[in-house]
Amino acid sequence: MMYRTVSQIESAISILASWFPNFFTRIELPETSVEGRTVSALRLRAGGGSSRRGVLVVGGTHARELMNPDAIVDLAIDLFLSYTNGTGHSYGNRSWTAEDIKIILESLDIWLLPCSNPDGRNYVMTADSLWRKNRRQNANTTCMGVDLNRNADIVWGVAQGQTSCSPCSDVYCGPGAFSEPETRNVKWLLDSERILSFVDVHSYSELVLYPWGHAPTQTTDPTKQFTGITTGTCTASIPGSYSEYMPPIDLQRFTTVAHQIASDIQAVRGRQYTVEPSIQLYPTTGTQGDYAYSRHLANAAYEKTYGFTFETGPWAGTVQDSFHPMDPSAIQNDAKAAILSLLQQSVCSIELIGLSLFAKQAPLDALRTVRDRLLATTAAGREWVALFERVQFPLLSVVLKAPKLLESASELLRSLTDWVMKDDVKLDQVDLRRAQQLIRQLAAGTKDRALRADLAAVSTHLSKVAGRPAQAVVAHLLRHRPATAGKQSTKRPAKTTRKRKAEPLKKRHT
Amino acid sequence: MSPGSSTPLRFHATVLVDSRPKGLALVSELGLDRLPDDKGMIQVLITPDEARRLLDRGVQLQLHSALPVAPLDERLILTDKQAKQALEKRLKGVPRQGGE
Repeated sequence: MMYRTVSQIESAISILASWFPNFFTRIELPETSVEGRTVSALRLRAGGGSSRRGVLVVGGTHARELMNPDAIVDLAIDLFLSYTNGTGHSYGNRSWTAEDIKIILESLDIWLLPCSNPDGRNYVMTADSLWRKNRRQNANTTCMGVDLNRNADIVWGVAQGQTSCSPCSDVYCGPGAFSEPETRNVKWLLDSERILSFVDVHSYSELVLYPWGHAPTQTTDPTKQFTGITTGTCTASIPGSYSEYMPPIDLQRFTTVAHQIASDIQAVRGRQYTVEPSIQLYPTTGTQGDYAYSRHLANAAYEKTYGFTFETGPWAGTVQDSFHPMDPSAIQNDAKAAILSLLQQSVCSIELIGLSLFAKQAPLDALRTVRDRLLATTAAGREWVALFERVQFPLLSVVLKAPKLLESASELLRSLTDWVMKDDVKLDQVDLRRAQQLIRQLAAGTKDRALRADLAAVSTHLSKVAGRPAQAVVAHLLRHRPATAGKQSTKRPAKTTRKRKAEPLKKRHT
Repeated sequence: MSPGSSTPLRFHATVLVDSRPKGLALVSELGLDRLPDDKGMIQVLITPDEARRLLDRGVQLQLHSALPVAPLDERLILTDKQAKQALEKRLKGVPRQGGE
């Protein structure tokens, strides 16, 4: 295994888009790099439909972290071949079925930006193998480069921890937020597309990071928000006592998704990635992961994007071997499994079924309101959200394989939205019976004990809320955790998240 | 890079300090390239000039290696021919929808 040059990455993107235009689209980003190189993204999708959820995967932000741009290109090819050949795909001992891949590719728009810093990568290969920044000629100094993961508009220019305003520093934040064309390209993708999940893939340390990087996270005081922090001070101006607010439902989502990613990585070959907020690695400002998530908080016109940062690979004994090992294939498998895990968790079954079911967006918005404005407000309610997010993908696989189940699920979804949108409609016995029957059928369609336990919890609570209007049912869910019905706690430890039985890797028809 | 030396270098070093917070504050103040360390040590990748500045501030450094500023080992870089062959091998047999 070796590393592709910048032109080889560009070439791979062009070839894939040219040979398989029904699957790949090359997007030339609006800005060339500082040295004038074209920067391309690759969109993957299968099937039709619009208004899809998007996931944006960025690699190569730091030039010397060579493994990830190649891993992202290879992941694109892996997904394409799996879909085309109707086979599943495995990274080590972690397998995804053909149905899993199909659902992911037919429900998401996957935006890959494998090499966001082409000048830096080229410089690593031709001049300095440990170069980190882009190749900006900074004003009034011979020191080159801006750290592209300090240049985003989130607490930009607050020089604390590993962020500096000195152009000679390897963590130089640049002369202004988004001063660099390479970071503006990432912003452009976030602005232009409906990106639900974002990940900036770095090396090394074996970490799955989530916001915040500039301060510890707290979930109780919404008045403490980054929008009130003075930026561009070039000092460590955030008080030590300051903690940044994050709504509890978002923190739950970050930690749930991140732990599942860590669990999926561990299934590959046993590596234990640590899940933590970015500040645990070191304090930073202006990072892309934090920026992606912060956007909707700074400007309500933006949709929420969950922003993650991966740090792939371990310390390998030397600096060079840690950033660009002789054989990166095992670490790249971890990285690809991590990205695929994020993709899988970005699928929303309700949205997938609902978009084909409803002509209007209103019913889906009504369900989102119940989730975000009501269930999110209590610990019990958030556990119900977590349960739903946990079970939805495996259940979707079951439902999509059986037309009758899909029909039944669609009818229920229609009833559910009617029920949620009209205060006076009660959960009637017909719907209840239909729901219980669907739960039994779903349980019969899976051997996963944890999944069956979750379904049992739903079933038990359903029988308790029959005949009540939506408002009363939501009130019940806000008070009663799913675990009170089921035998098993819905809070599973990170490393013991449900594991699927590894399937044998089917031979590809290549 | 080292002024006056023939080969520009970086050092991989550990900053040895009595107080970790003070060490971190110093590394932050000097804007140094801090490397992650799962044991909590303060590892840095620094130029000789940055090493001198650290020493001037009274800290000790444990140098692990001197790393010449040099291109990536060319054995780690795919040739264009290898890259093309690898891609074609992976996509062999898949009917193409578009142009050559």
